[in-house]
Parts: sequence; C-alpha cells; structure tokens
Amino acid sequence: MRNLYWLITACALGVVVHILTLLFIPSMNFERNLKGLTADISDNRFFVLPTTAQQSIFPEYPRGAVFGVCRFDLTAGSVALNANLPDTLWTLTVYTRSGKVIYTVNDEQSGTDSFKLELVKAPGILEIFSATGNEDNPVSSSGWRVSSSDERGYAVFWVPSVDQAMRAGFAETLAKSSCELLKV
Amino acid sequence: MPHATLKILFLLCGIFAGWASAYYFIEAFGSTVIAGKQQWRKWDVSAGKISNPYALAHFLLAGKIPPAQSLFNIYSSGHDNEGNILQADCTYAVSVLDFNVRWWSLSLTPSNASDPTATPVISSDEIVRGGDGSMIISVAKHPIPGNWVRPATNGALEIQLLLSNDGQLTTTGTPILPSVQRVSC
Repeated sequence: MRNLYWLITACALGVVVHILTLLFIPSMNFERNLKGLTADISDNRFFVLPTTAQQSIFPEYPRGAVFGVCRFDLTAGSVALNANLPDTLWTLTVYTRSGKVIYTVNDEQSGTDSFKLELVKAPGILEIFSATGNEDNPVSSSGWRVSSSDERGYAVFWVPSVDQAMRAGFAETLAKSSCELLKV
Repeated sequence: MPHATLKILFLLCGIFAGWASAYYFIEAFGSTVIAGKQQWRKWDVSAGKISNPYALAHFLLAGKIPPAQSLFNIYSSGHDNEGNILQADCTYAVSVLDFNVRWWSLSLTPSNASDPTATPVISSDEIVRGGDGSMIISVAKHPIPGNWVRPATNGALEIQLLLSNDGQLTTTGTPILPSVQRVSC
C-alpha cells in the first residue's frame, strides 16, 4: 500500500516534468536565444537582424533573406509598428515571448506595403468582467490593432531576396520601418 | 532494498519518464507522416491543435523560431527513398517538382551559423531548372555543378522543406514531395 502511494506520486511527478519540458523549457529557450541576439538593442525599437543572427534562428531561409524585428514591451502602453516594406513578397508574424504566433499577414493579404499596426495589451479576465460596457472602446482609424495576452513579444518581418545586392536594397527599405511606444 | 532508497528510485523513475516521454511525444505527435511518402513528415504548429505544443517545442528546443502555420507549410525528412538515415558524408540527389507556391526553400539541419561557407539552404529564388522544368538538388560535402547544398555539420541530417502557404495547397492537398536518392556514400 505504501509503495502504491509512492508509485502514484512518481506518476504525478512524471506528468509535471512532462508539462514543464514541453511548455516551459522550449519557451525559456526561445526567449533566451532572442534576447541574446538582441541584447544590445532596447525594447520598442525596430532593427534589421544581422546575417549571422538570422542564420542561427532562421536556418530554413537563405542568407539573402532580410528579417526586421521589433521586440515590444507593452507594460508602459501600446506600441505602434510603422511598416515600410519593398514591393515584393513579405510576411509579418507577431510572436509572444514564448514563441506563440498571435498575428500574421503577408503582402497579398495586406494589399499595401506601408501600414501601421498597433500592438496593445489584451485585457485580463478581471478587466473584462469589471468593464461597464459604456467605456470607450477606441478603434484605431489609422491602422490595424493586435491584442497580445503577453505584454512582451516580437514582431518579425521577412522579405526574401535573390542575392546580396538585392538584400541591401530591401534592408534599406525595411530599415525605414519603426516601432515606438505610443504616448498615453 | 531500504525503503528510503525505493522511494527515491520511484521519484527518479517518474522524473525520467516525464522527461523522456516529452521528447518522444515531440517527435511522435508534433508531426504527421505523409501518406504515400513515409519518409516525409508534416509539422503542424496551428493553434488549438493537439500537435501544437509538441510541434512548437520541436522548433523552440532547437533554438529556431517556428514559421507561422498560416503563412508556411513545413515538411521534414531524415531518410532517403530506401528508408536509410540521411548522412552528411553521403551524396544525395533530391528531385523536386514545381510546388506551385509563391516561394519555397529546402534546407539541411542541423545548421551551423558560425560557418560562413556553409550553404545548407536553397530557395525557389535561386534554383536552376532543367529544360523540362525539373529540378535536381545535390546534397554533398563537395561541390557539385548545378543546384548544390552543403551540409553544415557531420553526422545525421534532416531535410526541411518550407512552402509558402498562399491558399493553393488547401485545394490541391499535399504537394508532391521531393524524392531523395542516395548517389554514393
């Protein structure tokens, strides 16, 4: 009987370790990797990823590809992502800090190569229930709005290019994009 | 065996079983085998699916950022047509038919970002097509004329295929995946 108790405890421990290995270790690995690559760049700032960094986290893409990243932090308020993209195939993917995809769009879906995306913190359960219904729910007229349940994350642009010469041109265009904290 | 030792053994077994099962499930549940092309697997990172945490963990544990499922379809294979494990020391001919998507890439993993001479990726932008539209990609450590990808590391390899998902695959189902023929070893 005593052994049965310890057997059940061991099974429960196994389930906990399984969940931890599956949910927390990969997320921590993702965040640590991205933080390491962007350590010298502050939050809410747009930058084009250097080729070496790009190769380690996006190995499925050729060296010629251009990646633009905004590491956002919504603790102090919403963040505006002003995108400026070349007239070619591109994608935008917004990830939470644990690597979960919360928003995607590509050139065909957007219909434009320059747009504004507002990243806002999604309301928590308490905030939803405490809302009276009469409160303002402003809809941004200047662009799109993405609610993130996680206050930190990454918006990643990808633009493929054939060679290094084309890459330089695309990187220059993409570098005109910005990512900034909106004044409250 | 003393009772305390037995208790510790139970707990250690539980920890090991939980850890090992997570790694096993990542490979087993994170991807699905493609019917008719047993060596190819499809990774599904769509939100809300049972495969999601496992497929996501597959990419994140390798230090990679998972492509968004709504933008890309991801396939991988670690075996040639005969079912042998792909090895970096061998030479392979990968025959590709046009995928009928806007963009695709074929890459070899594991990659090695610190090696600037490594060329483990080829994309639809760079590929040279034959007169009949066919595409043959050579996988080898030494240079081969035509489309060539060089493994960045030694040991076992995996081929990863990334297809841009622009709606066409949903109507035509699974694309015709490449055949991987071993040339020499």
